[in-house]
Amino acid sequence: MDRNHSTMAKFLFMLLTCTCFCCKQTIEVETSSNLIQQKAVFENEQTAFAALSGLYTRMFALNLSLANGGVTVYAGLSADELENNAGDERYDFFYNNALLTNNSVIETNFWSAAYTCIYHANAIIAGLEDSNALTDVAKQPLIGEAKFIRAFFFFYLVNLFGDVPLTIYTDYRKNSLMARTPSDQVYEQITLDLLEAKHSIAEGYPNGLRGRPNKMAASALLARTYLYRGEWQKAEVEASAVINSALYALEPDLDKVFLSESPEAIWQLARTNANTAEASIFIPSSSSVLPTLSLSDSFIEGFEPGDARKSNWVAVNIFDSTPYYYPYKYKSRTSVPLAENLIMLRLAEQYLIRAEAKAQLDRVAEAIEDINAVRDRARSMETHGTSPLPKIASSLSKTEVMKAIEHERKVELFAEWGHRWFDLKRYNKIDVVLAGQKNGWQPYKALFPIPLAQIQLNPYLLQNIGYDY
Amino acid sequence: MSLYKSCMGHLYALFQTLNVRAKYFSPQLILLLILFNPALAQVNDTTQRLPAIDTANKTNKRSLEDTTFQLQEVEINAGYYKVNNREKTGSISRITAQTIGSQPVSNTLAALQGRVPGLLITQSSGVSGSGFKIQIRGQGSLLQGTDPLILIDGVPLSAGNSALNVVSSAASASNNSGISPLSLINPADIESIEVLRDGDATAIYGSRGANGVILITTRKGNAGNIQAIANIHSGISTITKTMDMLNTRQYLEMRAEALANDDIVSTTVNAPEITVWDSTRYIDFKELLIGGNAAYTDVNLNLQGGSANTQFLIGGNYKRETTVFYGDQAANRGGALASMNHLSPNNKLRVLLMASYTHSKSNLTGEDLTRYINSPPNMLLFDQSGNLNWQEGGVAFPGSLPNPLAASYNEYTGIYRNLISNLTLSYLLAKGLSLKSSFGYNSTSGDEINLNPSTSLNPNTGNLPFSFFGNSQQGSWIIEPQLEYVGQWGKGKLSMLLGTTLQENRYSSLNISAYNYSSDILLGSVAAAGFSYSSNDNSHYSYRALYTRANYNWDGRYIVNVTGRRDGSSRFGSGRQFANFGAIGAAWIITNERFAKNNLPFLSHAKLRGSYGITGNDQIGNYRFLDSWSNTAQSYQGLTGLSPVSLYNPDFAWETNRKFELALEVSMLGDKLSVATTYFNNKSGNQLVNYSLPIQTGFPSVLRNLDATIRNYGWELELESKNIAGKGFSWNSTVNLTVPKNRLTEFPGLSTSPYYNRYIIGQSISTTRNFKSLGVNSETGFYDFLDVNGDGAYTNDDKTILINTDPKFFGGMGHDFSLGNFQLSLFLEFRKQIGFNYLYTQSTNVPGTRYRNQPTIVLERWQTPEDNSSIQRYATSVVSNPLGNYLVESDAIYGDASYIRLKNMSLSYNLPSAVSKKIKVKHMKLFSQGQNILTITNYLGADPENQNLYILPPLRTITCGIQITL
Repeated sequence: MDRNHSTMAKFLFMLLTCTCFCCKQTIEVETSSNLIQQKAVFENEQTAFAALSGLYTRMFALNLSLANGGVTVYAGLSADELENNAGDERYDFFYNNALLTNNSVIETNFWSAAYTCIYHANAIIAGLEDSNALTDVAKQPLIGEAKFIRAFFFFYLVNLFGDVPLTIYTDYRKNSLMARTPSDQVYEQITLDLLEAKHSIAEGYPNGLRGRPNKMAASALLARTYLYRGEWQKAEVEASAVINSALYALEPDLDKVFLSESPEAIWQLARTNANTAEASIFIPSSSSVLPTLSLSDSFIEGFEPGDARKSNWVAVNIFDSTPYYYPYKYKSRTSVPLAENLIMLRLAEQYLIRAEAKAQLDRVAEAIEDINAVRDRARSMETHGTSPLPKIASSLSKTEVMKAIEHERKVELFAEWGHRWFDLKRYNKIDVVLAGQKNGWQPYKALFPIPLAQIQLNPYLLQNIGYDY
Repeated sequence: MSLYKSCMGHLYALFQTLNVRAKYFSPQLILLLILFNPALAQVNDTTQRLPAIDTANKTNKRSLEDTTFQLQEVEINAGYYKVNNREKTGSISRITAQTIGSQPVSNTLAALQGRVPGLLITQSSGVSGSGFKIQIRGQGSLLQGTDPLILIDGVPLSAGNSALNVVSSAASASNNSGISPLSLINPADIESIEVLRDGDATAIYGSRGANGVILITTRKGNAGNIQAIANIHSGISTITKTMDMLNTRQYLEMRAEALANDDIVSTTVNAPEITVWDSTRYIDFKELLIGGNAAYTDVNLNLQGGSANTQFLIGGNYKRETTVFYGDQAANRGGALASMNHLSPNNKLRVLLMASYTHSKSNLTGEDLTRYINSPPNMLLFDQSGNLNWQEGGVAFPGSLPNPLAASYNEYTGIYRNLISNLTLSYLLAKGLSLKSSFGYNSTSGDEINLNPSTSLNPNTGNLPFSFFGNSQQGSWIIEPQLEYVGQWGKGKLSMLLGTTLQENRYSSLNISAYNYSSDILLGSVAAAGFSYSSNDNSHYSYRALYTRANYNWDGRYIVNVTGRRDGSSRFGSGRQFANFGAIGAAWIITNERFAKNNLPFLSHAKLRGSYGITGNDQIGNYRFLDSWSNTAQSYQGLTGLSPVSLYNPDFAWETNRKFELALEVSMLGDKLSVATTYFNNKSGNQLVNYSLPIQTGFPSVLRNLDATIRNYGWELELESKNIAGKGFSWNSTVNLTVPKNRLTEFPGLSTSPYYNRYIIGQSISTTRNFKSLGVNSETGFYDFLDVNGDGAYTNDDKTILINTDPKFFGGMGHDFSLGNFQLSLFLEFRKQIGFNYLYTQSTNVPGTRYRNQPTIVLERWQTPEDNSSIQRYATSVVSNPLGNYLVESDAIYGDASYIRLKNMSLSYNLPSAVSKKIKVKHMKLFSQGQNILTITNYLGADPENQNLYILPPLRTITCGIQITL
């Protein structure tokens, strides 16, 4: 037994030593080479810029997502612009206005794509505001840029879905249970963000290219926001600021409007190593195949004789002896050579915004001048036609001018950013126009449904009226 | 085969009976099983002894172990210590080399299916090398992995059970698959596998033990003359079960009927299959794409022997498997194993060294071709020049209709290497006290490439050839110094252990996506790409622990086992890195009591044991407590981007898993019959989960602790019997059965959480809410659902049908027969469960949809009013009946997915020693083995195990082989 005791004593002694030796200090590990802590990201301008670059790459990470052709294609199908010829059911749901609440495009390409970018922008804003290392002079333009992007996404969300949760901070505990914010409040925030962006971003483009929004981009989006809100005076001021800026001019050649170097572009999203998602979806692989999506007959018939936009921005494939027209604004289908960037905002729209604002302010003659500025280009391009596109007569009444603006927006801005879909809603014409063209049209379909899966994750998120759940 | 079928029919009847009993569960069921056991017919015949050992087998220690029934002598590996099976206080099951060796499988996990109570292994895909889902005693975590800790000779497999590949391939078709790290372990190199389940057995693994532990022990040499063993077998594999699809005539009729039903005139645009394509062409895509015979070849060579003090084993192995897919692909694996044991002449120093290396090369298709078996049967596959075709009659195939053979033109090549080595040194310091340390190292690396040549691309997309490159390395080392004491303490035996663990894991990967190649020739070169995106990742994990065990065995009657561990992990933030875990187990060996010896002579062994312990889980990935940003793959205007990695939550901490169990183990009639019954009750709390969030927060989830409690409880039963043990003939049987239950017992604030709609307190976490399907409306011909509250809309309130997809029970039944020199073993795996039927994957492709073929089952569709059918009328799209979209949220997509599978059958013949002497070999065995031979099920769909019509089902493999010992 003695021997046993001494062995045990040794054992216990070692046990104690080991216990003391082990496990009180913290365990240190090397950090991963591709991770940077948030604090470090906003300690210098270079990495803070990189955070913004990351936000832009996120915008085009998914083809046909909100900021990368998605609004153009899906809102175009929902309106009276585009038709679906493909076997792909994804398009049918939009084309037939038969969206179900579990539609994956709605959830992935619109809702998720927008909110992940909004979070990214919020994280940049929070990171910069907390940063002590950067000066205000360095910070403010970057914060302005992030707020611009946030406003851009909320603008589309509120127009596609109606009320949406207004998430402007990064705290998930608050955001996760947020209900839908009334659209008036969302618009207030959009305006606030754009005003701040306009105030803090410089007028010049940082590297000569127009890949990042400048002060004028903020004005341009602000002009559109005021227009949608019926604040005509303010819309006119902002649109004028852009039109009067020396940076832009209407590109006289319709075929060059959508090229990277277009003088008309106010803000472009420059995809790396790829041309636009629009071109790759609209343009068929050869002249003999059926286009996936084509322009509707009613739309094609809407062109006035002599309008060069029909010959230069629309192309046609004859298939089975039927003509199929497709949008041909962007002309580079494949990824090489790089020639076109996605134009987010362009000057022609500002002319039409100003025309509408002026018409609403009863400055009809000035409005007609702005419309004609856009029509002049469409006319001058038509060389072989016998009856050139006429100017708008200066004798028109306000009502007639408003009608002319609606038509002009339809043919100038078709297959771009869902303008037609939003205009139909804005002018309160959606029920009249679509009831005649779409089976089973109902007024509630003017808003997309809130994604079901998201409703199931947030008990406070309620569905748009009319949709099942 | 008809004989099989009738046998199986009887078994199925038995199964159904059990099912009825299972509802009332309980001891009755055990009794029932005992009653069913033919062993009782032998009650009176207690004179029979162990079967005489064939002289030919005497030299082969392993087969001696295997053919005898020696429960009491078996030493069980509990990881840090060994324990006599009859004296163990925890729940540990052991699978031996013989069981593994009788199964022609390439992944060891496949050999464990149905063999161990409480262990549920599900094969997600039949593609060679792909993964398995492992669950030990249910799902204890809402969302984190359920993967157990896997150790090979004490060395943790650094990849665990998570997929190795960084580039996708045919093997990554489902969530749980990808290239399995376990596919790099040669099953023939394994001596035994122990599965640790309860708190007593797993608490010593602390933070890593919550999901159970699987210990793999490799073969070691035995003392004796040098012996060479060669084992060669080869055979073929085919798919187990899939569904027949419509032929061209039926398909075209379906399309025409759908167009007619929807009042649509068929045109070249909406129905090219009818108007443009050749209507006489017929391709059976099921047969073409996955109907092939895969060749299987496996060769193992071992050389072993040694003196009383030093033994060695060296072995080499090679395996080749082709696939059932269209085209030529093959997975090759080669490896070597070496091990050496030495005991110094003074019996003080013990050295054990093992090293195992495996090299595998998989050529696979870029995608699982099974997903294309519903291609239209009159599709034109090749153009006149023999290239893949993408149009017919000028109508291009749309994006939703890829040429199904395109994926077979994409070539995936994955080369994986795995090295495991371990050195254990132990020194006897004094009587009963030894110092021991193990030094382990594991390294796994992969080089992958996925080539997409122009021949595989649809020219209409304008895409140029592209390639993906992946490269990954992971390594871990582990050092575990231990002090062990064994001695008499009073009237009992005391064993103590104290040890510490130092472990580091490192991982790095490089991933390149290269696009716009100008030609196919240079596809393997990154430099030849038009442009490429690359990303890399690396991480470091550090782990420290102190652990101890004290076991006191009082007179062979009362045993107490206490284990404890203090763990520190770098995966947690400062101040939260350390946590304590521990367990207590106790056993009472009743048969060693005087009263039992006197009054219960028919009992040869009876033990009551119980345990309670706390384990943890740190399977959360590295650096998650940091507020990190990482580089984006693409740059913007020449400037690389940064992107937030996850939502920031630095405050998460260890989760705890409390495990309780009580078991009774009884052997009777001279060990003829052994029964072990176990009740377990595990509670997981303070769960560490990827907490789902609405995307309006910026991310779909955040890592945090959740104050919910999940309870996994149930019964496990193991039964072994020697039904007949005669001189010329013997028959042994084993049965194991698990009846698991899962309950979400607490979830504070559930109604305002993102899970308000997903989980139900008091139900299993697998339970979902569903609409009540009313079948096909006999008037409209469309699916109809019950509007429970009659408000005219289908909302969450109408989802009243609860469906639980947990298995009701599962297990296996094995019979080993031996007649003279013949051995036959049969093993049945069974599972009673509800699962997704084929409609789950068909949901948006309603019968009649353009370009989508359907299983022949749709021929019974609704056609005219008053028709009673379970299949809705043909329609061109789900749009024609939006209600059809609710189908996937209704109970119609679920059905009985129970099955009984003849998992394994193995027949072998030992050449009589006289004959083998003549041909100058020590021993020779001829054998034939089969895996997944027959499946009996009512399942409506492909295979009831992976439950997906578009993922390759498990394969049926039949081989023949020979084993020669020189």
